Amino acid sequence: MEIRSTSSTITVGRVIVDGRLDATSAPDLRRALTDHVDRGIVDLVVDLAAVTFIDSAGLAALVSGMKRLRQDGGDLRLVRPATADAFRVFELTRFDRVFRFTEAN
Amino acid sequence: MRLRDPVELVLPATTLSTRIIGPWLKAVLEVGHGPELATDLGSRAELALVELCNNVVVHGYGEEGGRIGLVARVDDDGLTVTVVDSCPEFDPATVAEPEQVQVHGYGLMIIRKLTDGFDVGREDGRNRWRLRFTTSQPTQVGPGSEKRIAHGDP
Repeated sequence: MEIRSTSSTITVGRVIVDGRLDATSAPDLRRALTDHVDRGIVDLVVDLAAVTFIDSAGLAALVSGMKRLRQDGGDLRLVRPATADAFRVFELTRFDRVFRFTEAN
Repeated sequence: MRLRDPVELVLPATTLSTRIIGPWLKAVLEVGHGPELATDLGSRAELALVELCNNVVVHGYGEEGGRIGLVARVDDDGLTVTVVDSCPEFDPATVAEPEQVQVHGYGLMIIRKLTDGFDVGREDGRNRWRLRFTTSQPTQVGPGSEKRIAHGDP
């Protein structure tokens, strides 16, 4: 998995993820999200368009980031994975109704 | 030619090694069913098996480590995978499904929803899980409603 991060303003950030978001790679994403929050980012977009697989460990990293940002008055939004396979974990756990999704450009 | 003999995979109990499961399943399904079923059935089975094996790695073996054995059997209606570990006995019926937004605790929920049969027993000091996947979409079940796979099934 590769993670790239950008910040469009002081408080708005974007994290782009590709490959597998699973139990092996989830700690890297969790650290990246924590780094953004610690730097004062309150609105964060995680772009999952190029992610090919997500399991519950990957989901946990996203939920953890979302909870912390919402506690601070912000939010974590997701760019929807391009494939139904990668989106499946959100549907199975009903997090498709919890996260705010946008379509990939 | 369709090959439907049982196919075995033995993994070291690490999260990284579970990445082999997807390509292994795809190969098993392609030779047993043909490529048309390998995509959807394989991806559903991959997610369920990765969840199960990660639970075994993290909550079963922990830092001690160990091995996980998987045997896949393809038939006309789908796929059955048996997973064997040497962890302490585990009863999934004791695990409640999350009722509110929480960070962890979704693994078994995912397995239950992806399988058409989900069974665990204790044999020779080992946990023996059997997961059934059919070509149709699975019905949804909750904790404690593990569907028994008939004795004698693969």
